[in-house]
Amino acid sequence: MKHARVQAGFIQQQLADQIGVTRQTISLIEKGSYNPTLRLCLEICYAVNQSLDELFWIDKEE
Amino acid sequence: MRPIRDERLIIQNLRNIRLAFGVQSAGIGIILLYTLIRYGLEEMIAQPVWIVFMLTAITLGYTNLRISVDMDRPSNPRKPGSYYYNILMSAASGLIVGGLVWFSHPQEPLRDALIIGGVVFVCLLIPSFVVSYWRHKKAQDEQNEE
Repeated sequence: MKHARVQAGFIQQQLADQIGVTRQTISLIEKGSYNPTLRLCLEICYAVNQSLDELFWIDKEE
Repeated sequence: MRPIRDERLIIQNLRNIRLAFGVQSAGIGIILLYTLIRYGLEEMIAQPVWIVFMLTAITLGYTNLRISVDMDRPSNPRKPGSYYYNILMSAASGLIVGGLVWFSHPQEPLRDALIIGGVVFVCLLIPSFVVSYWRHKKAQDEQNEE
């Protein structure tokens, strides 16, 4: 997600302001320490112009 | 103070409220236990915190009814019963309990038996109505899904 954010030209605070959360939440999502709801995932996707699949998909561990 | 919009902070706030609720309940429990040991049952029930404790328990119980209905997975799912069935069962229970009180304490006025029967009726009617309502809603959702 960090890569997509940087590519879209956002710093954490700008992305946070755009989707109405705090910067800490963005930071925790990027670190993998917070599991966002689908609604927030979609908001992030809309903001950085990426699909859910590209941004959040993780292959199932065997 | 601005309203919290961040979902993570909303969840954190709910966790904090849960913790505070636990601390508050423990405090009330300790006060009631102390009163019970020191002054007896009558004095404990007379305490205002007893009413707070009971109201909290009732609120929690009622709000958890929906969770119970959602968790409920009957082995043979069928259409939930009619609301009239709840009224009938509650009225029958109220009449039985009221009648038992009247027969077991014939020296007491009939009013006492009526009050006890009425309380049983209302206390059974409201939760059974709530459960029925959620069951109907659940059945409707399942029907719409099919």
